[in-house]
Amino acid sequence: MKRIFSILAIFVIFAGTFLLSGSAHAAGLTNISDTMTRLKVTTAANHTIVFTTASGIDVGDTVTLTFQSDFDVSAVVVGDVTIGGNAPASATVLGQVVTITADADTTVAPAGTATIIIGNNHITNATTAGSKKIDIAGTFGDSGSLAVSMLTDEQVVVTASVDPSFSFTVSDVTVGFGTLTTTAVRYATGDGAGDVAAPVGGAFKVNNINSNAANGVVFTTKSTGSGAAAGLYYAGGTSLIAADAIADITLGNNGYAFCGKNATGGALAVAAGFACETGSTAISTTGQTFASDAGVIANGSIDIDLKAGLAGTTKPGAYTDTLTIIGTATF
Amino acid sequence: MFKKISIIALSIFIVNSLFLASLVRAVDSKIGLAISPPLVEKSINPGESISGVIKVTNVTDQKLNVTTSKKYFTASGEGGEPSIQDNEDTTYTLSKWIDIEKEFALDPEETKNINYTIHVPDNAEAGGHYSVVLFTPSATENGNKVSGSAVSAVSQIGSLFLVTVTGNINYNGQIVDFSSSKKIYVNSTNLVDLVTRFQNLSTIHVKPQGNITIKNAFGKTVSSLVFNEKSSNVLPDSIRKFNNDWTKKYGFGWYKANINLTYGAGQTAAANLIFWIIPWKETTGAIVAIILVIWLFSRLQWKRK
Repeated sequence: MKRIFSILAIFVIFAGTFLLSGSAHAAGLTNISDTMTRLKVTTAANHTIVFTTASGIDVGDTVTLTFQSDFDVSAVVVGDVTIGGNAPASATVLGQVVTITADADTTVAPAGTATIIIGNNHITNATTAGSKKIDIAGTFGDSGSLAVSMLTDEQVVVTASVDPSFSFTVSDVTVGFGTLTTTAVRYATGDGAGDVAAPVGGAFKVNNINSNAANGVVFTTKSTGSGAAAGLYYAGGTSLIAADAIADITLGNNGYAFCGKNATGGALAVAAGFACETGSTAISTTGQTFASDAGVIANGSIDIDLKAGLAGTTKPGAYTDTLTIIGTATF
Repeated sequence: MFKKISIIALSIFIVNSLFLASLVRAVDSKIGLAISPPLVEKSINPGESISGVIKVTNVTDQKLNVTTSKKYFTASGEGGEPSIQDNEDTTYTLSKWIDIEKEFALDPEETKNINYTIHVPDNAEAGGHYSVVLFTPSATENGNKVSGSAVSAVSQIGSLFLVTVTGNINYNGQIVDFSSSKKIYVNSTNLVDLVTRFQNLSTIHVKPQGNITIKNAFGKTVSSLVFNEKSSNVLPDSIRKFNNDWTKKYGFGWYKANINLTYGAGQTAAANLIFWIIPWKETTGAIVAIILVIWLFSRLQWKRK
């Protein structure tokens, strides 16, 4: 009896050992996921399948990925597959099963995480929407399943359009020279008092210039003057202080000039003829270009100086002019 | 007595407040608009009409009255700049065919869609017709008053209209100039600036398009530049200048640039030019080195004899 009991005990120990050993190699996979680049039905996608394997993956082990019947995996080749970033020994397809064989570079330690990527958009998603199953098994010993959701469309198309536009402002609509004298040339100022020195920021500004017009923008100006001629005009005395170039306004002589300076924003530039430093062009009663930019402008600005000189023979009176600043796109 | 003083004080306070308020308004006399689009290009059959919208925005913080006007324009210079004309007595004008609201008001920061309709008469001449719609803002409040000699500034912002009336259109044009700023570029890195001037002899605006191909002395294409990338227009009876830059590092020898353009209804134009790249420092160094080698070789030969 004692002998029989001993034999039974040894048998139970051996059987238990074998059984325990078998269950360790056939453990279920944990932390299984599949991140796909697209979830839309019948759309090519890449798969990043991650799982934790108790057994690990040894050299020569296979991992089989069995996709549900309406996936198309026929295009998968070994060059599409990596395990842990390295190419495996082989990757073959039979029906819905992709069989990957590990080599020395693609082993995974027991209890390690395997990351299998099937790239190059060589798997076409299932043809119908809904939950689709992927089974993972192979000679490495563990197995598991996961489900992915196929959608009729998972992307939202966002559209936006930007209209071409152009804007600018003029900072002061009325500026003044004060009282013109023969003893000094004067500059107009925004407060209307005038000054013998050029105001740092100009008499007024053409500013807040913004444009995304494809070919850029251009600014022209013209003087109303007497109607027939440009300049500062005293209607009561039909007397004109004629327009002249900024460089030609001299003490004791009649003259009235317009010029631009301190251009900022994009490639905005004052035309050479109307540059305050060297300008040689007089404004007229027809439009003349005083600044332009062939590109886009953000928050551009130009300071405008107005300068006048007076001859002793000029009729006394209130001289005025209306300058028209026209901004347009170029064509 | 106290009541009277209170009334007087209150009156002074109200008058001062109004005066200060008017001063504040006078200081902030900025005026201006934004428009979209600044350029309108349409094609219309004779006898038909087409409608559209120009968005006009008050970009200031004061209420503005806006008046509209229409003016014919031609090309000014060679940079695509419009020259706005007072004379509308031309078959190219579009002004009389445009219906648009003549006057409207805009609150601060307000945008209005201003509708326009272009009615092309049955007997309209085929070809290009041009006009600029100008929007002129003015403040509803009086601005600052200036005594003595004063200048008023009026701003106008314009949307250019380029309209093609379909029909039998005569296309004609030519490249009147294709040149580089220098015949010989002498640096190791050179910016070769190619200038093309295209003359439009058509009765309509055209957008010449094409490529500039640059080949080296061996006939190998070393660069291809896109011409008129911005699809700029050339108006009838005008010349437009186009610039193309080519940066060449370590070039040597002569180069040939060919320009091939298409415009209108498949018309073509072509031209070519030759320029040289001879980097003088590198070239001088090479010549001196060759001379030294020859001299040393000669000396060795002489010593052997």
